[in-house]
Amino acid sequence: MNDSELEDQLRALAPAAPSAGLATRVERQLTATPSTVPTAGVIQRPARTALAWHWLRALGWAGAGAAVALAGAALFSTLGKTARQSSSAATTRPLEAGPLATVNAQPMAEASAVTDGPAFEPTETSRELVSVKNSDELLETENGTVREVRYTYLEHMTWAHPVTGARLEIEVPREDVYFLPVSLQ
Amino acid sequence: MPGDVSSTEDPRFMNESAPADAWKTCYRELAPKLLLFARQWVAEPADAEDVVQTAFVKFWRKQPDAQREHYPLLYAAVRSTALDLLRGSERRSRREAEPCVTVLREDSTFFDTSVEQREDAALIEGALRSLPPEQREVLVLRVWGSLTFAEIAATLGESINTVASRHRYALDALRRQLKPYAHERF
Repeated sequence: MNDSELEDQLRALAPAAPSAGLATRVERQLTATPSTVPTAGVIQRPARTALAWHWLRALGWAGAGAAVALAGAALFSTLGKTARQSSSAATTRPLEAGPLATVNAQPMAEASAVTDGPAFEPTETSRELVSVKNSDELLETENGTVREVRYTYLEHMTWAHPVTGARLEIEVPREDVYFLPVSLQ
Repeated sequence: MPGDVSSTEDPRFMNESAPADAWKTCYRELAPKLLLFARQWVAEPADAEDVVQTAFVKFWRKQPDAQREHYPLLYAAVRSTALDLLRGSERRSRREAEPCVTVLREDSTFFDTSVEQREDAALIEGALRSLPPEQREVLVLRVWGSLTFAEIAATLGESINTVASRHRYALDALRRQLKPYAHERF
């Protein structure tokens, strides 16, 4: 007897049928509402509406644009600050002889603008150098190595009324910071 | 014959128009086979029916539109449920400090038989019980479950070659055991 014949002999025997109660129990269980949601199944992702998707995408692009703008502004600010420091260092050279003379007129003009009344007229302004401090640290800039030097002044400004002779005096502390190239020191 | 499934052997039995009753056709076709498969591990017929019930309900809830190609999943569910029950029984036996002995009932048979088939069925059932479990389950799935080797491999999580080998060994062992009676019956 070969395998096929033996299988046919075996297949001639039908498996025993289950009891009638099994079908009833299965039917009862299948028709009953499951008490819990089956967790083995795949939970379908809720459909994303097209409007929300477009809105989120637009928000994303706007956020990316804002980030780029902020980065650009920060970079521009940094470059501008460096440029101002460089120009300050550059204009310091002629001030070696006397920085006071160069910037002396500016506070007076500002004071005139502020007190530009019909009565008072600026009569006197002076600047008293209080201290000069050289920083111990050297800074590396695009124009080379510089040292920070702080000039502290005390400015005296006086206004007088030509008619009444009244006087207005103001003392303003002022500090100027210069970056002097190390090669000049 | 209650176990005769030839009348419902239609792989396209599932139609889309009556999904509520579709399980009945599937159940009528498969329940005897599933019960025989479950009894390879579970001795008590009532326990085997519980296994079939649990596995079938679980399967049908996940696969309400089950087709013929899904049957290996159902057999796998029966096997898994039966093994769970068996492990639970073993744990209970250990807990109660009793040896886990599978007691086979004398009046329980795997097959529905006519009077003429009764002796043959007893011989075959005895020969089946003497097979190693891994060979027996392959033979049951192949002969009475009508599964292909590929489907059996998917059900058991084994390779097709392993399944085919076990099937061949099982047939050889059955042939040896039934040889003394071959001149009379086989």
